[in-house]
Amino acid sequence: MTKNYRRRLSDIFSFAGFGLPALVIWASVVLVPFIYGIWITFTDWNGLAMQINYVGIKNYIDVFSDATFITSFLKTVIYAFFTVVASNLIGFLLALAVTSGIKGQNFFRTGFFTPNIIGGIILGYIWNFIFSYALTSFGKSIGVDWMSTSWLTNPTRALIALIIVSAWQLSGYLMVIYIAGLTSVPRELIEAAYVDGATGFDVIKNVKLPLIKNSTAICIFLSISRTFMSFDMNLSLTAGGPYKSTELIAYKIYQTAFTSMEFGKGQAQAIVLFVIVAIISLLQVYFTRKGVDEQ
Amino acid sequence: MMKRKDKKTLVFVITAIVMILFMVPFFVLINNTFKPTPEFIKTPFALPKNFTLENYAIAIKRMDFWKALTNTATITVLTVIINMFIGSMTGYLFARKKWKLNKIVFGMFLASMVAPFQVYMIPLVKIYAGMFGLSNNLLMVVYIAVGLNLPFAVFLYKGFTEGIPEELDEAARIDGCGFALTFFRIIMPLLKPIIITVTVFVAMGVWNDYLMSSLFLTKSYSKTLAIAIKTFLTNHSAEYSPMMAGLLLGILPVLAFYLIGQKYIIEGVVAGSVKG
Amino acid sequence: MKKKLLSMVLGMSMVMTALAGCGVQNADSFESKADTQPAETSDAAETETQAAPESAGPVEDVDISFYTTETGKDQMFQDIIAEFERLNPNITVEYIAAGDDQLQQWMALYASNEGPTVSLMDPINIWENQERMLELTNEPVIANIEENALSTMTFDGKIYAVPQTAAGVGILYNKEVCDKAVGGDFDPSTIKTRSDLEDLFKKIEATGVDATCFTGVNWSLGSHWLCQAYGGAIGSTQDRVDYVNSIIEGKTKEIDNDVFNGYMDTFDMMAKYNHNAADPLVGDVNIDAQALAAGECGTWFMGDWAWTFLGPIVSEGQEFGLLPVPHSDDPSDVLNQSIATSYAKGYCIDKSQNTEAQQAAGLKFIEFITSDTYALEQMVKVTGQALPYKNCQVEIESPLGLSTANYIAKGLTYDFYGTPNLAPSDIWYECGAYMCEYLAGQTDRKTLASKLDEYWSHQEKR
Repeated sequence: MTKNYRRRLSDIFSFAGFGLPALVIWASVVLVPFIYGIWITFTDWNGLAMQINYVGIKNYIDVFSDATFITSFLKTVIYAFFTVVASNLIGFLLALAVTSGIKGQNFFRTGFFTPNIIGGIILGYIWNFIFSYALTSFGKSIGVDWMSTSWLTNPTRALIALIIVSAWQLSGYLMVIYIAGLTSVPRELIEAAYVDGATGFDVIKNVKLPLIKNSTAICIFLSISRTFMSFDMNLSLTAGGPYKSTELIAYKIYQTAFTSMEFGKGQAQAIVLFVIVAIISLLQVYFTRKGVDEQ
Repeated sequence: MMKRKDKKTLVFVITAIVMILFMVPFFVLINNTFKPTPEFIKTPFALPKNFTLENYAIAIKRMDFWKALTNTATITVLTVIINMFIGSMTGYLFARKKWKLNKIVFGMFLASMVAPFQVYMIPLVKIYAGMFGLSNNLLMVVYIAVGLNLPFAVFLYKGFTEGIPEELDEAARIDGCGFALTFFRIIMPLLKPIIITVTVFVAMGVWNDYLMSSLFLTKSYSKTLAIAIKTFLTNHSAEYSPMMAGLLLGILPVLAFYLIGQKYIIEGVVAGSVKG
Repeated sequence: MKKKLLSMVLGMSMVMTALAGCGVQNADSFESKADTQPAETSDAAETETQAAPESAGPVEDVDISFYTTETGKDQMFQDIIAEFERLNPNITVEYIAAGDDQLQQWMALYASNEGPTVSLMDPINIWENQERMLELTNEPVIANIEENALSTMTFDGKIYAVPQTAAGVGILYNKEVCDKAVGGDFDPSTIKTRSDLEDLFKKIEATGVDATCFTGVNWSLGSHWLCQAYGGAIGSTQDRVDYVNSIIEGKTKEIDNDVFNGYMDTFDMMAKYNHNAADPLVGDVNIDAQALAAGECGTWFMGDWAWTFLGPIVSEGQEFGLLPVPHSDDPSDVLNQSIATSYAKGYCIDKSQNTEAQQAAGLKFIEFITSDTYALEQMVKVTGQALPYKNCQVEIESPLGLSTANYIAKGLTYDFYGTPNLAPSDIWYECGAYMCEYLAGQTDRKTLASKLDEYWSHQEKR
């Protein structure tokens, strides 16, 4: 009885000390404003007006009856799929390379991470130049048709350009997490495998990959959430163009709320996006979790 | 053994080539900080014809660079430190105590990571700046940055703490350590690689953050680097060269921090593998 | 650190109770205790009653803020503010510049209860928020404004803003190239019809130079080119509003309108001679400006603000000017020889979150920025555009701005928007995309027109 009681007390203390600060800060910064944000979706507020009128679920009806929202969402799914696959693959390979004990590892790690540090409009502008002028002059000189006009003026190629640049940026980011995972694989295990005559590929497949499942799950989750929220790159590289064909969902939401001044509708779109992505990523976490536990 | 050495050379060469490809935009950036803007637009990939350091001088002056750097550093350092302690502690709690409450909170944290910031950004401003009048307050921005980055940090800390065998905790407990002591004495040192990793991510995110800080920091004395660089935007265009110079100056501290942090990741691993 | 944390926890619980308890209306009644303006209040209804009694002493110190969506001119505004503060030592002006996120930041400022005292905004944004704005109709500052520049700032007969500059929209030409093409001194007034323009283009092309250039970006095609189709060619301001309303109601189809078709015919004609024809959407104002300056193309559809791109790269002795965009082949149509001038931004004063003393100081600031010689000099020097102020004597240096000013002097201009709310705030983005699609040859005119009809059908009646 007293033992149980003492245990419960210590549990309460450990929660109060270890969990409560995070919970309180998070709730005040994210949860409360978020609920406030949900409330706005039931109004016609434009973000500035002094009058706020309730409109019920009108904004949600608008979202689902808006064909461009659905197109934009499907494009985002395509974009997210390729970006997630490419960036995880590249990120993992980079991590393998820079943990293999080669010369200048730290330098390489920093180099691959650099794309993440330069952000915003400048990066988009530089890539814009690369796709619009550098690649085209190269394409013209070797006489390849699809490379002699700008990638960013063709809907399909503009989307591919977005995927390339996003994967380029994201893979360095994921690499860091894969590195953290790979470096926690005990060296003795790897040595032992080599002693047993395993090839480098065997070691990766049978020793390293299973042991970094946690990092993999984290990386996939992060890349999914980051690609679905992708805004900066979309704005600075294509700005939704050519003719709104690369309007990814987060960018579209922003335009609805802050260019068309339909704040309530923009908020409702964002909530819908939130629900969908939350379901996707929670499922992903659940299944990879299961995979890890079954190991 | 010889064969492995050859392989290492091969890996080195491939990695080096990929890295050069990766760094092209960065080279373009550095190269163009030494040109006047019209020359950049005309020949963005050529070496500077009229080499100039003026862009750096312009950037430092127009961005009020040192003031902005101080503000950015203050916000980043405070956020990173608070986030590190709270995040790793919560991660530990969630990894070790599988209570229903913890699972629910963790699930909500995860979900909030995919919540578009736009949903709660205007409410955030209404509450903290509108109701409490805390705009242009660096500590306010720190508090919000901590809150925004917590789910991410807890997520990573929890994941990596689960990779640390629970037997270590048991051993510590037998030695008489309580929950808290076990964490600070035994677990936290083992988390070094992930602490560095999370710290680098959070630091980078906060350092470069424009959207959130621009909502709260509007006065000239409170501007961060990411906000100050806006001064080079013009209608439909920008003064690219000084902007690039300012950008480069602004990211150097983060790069340096990451380079130094790398060393500790390696160290942490050696320590970890000995104990593990 | 712990103390700080504790206070934050306390703060957060306050938020919780505040929100749970009362919702937004009450939320606004919290007094802000930080370093914000004195006697700050929240939303307008209360302000008017609260602020009234205290605006007595003229020497009282006032802090106001100035928010500008005219970007890249920080130095100019700060210089003007410094001069204003020197002359009005009791007023301090906080300068806030928007980035490329002008509405979002404005929203954030209002959400912070720090709505700027004076804002330089697009007329449509002022119109949408007139409930927050101080009416300026009977203020002396209006007397100094050219009458024809006021219509974009007037809503239902009430003036809510003071226009900033007169931006001329049209076809820029490189005189050197045109001189060579016509074999002598090129006179822009000889271009009276679409055919005249095409003749000029043919002559330019004969010299081995591309005749014209479109920058394939949404704001240029959507906001500038397309909006001409709702412009002076339709008729009076009332005619234009009626026309837009009839499209909104679905009574008229865009494709049946002569003015729309006229401008699109000119568009098609120009697109044939487009410098960027091989890849029409690759456009970039900086690169196209370089093409015009270098004589790679003879003309360029843009506006006089392009001097900010052109100015730094032109060589000594080069001459540039502005040509009107003809919409028909009728040489007697004066519109074919007129430049559309757009009063794209105006200064407005907030009354919803600013005290009367602040509003009065804001008014003083607007008066200063629209009439003081030093302010006008700075403004003309940096923007290179004509100013619609009666007392303005400043010589314009920009040849493009000068060109606009000449058209204004000759009476050969019409007001681009005519009324503040003619074009919705997202027309540049939504319809700009349709125009880009059209320029790229991905749609025909009929589809374009029906897309425009569809766009308008979602708008509210003007």
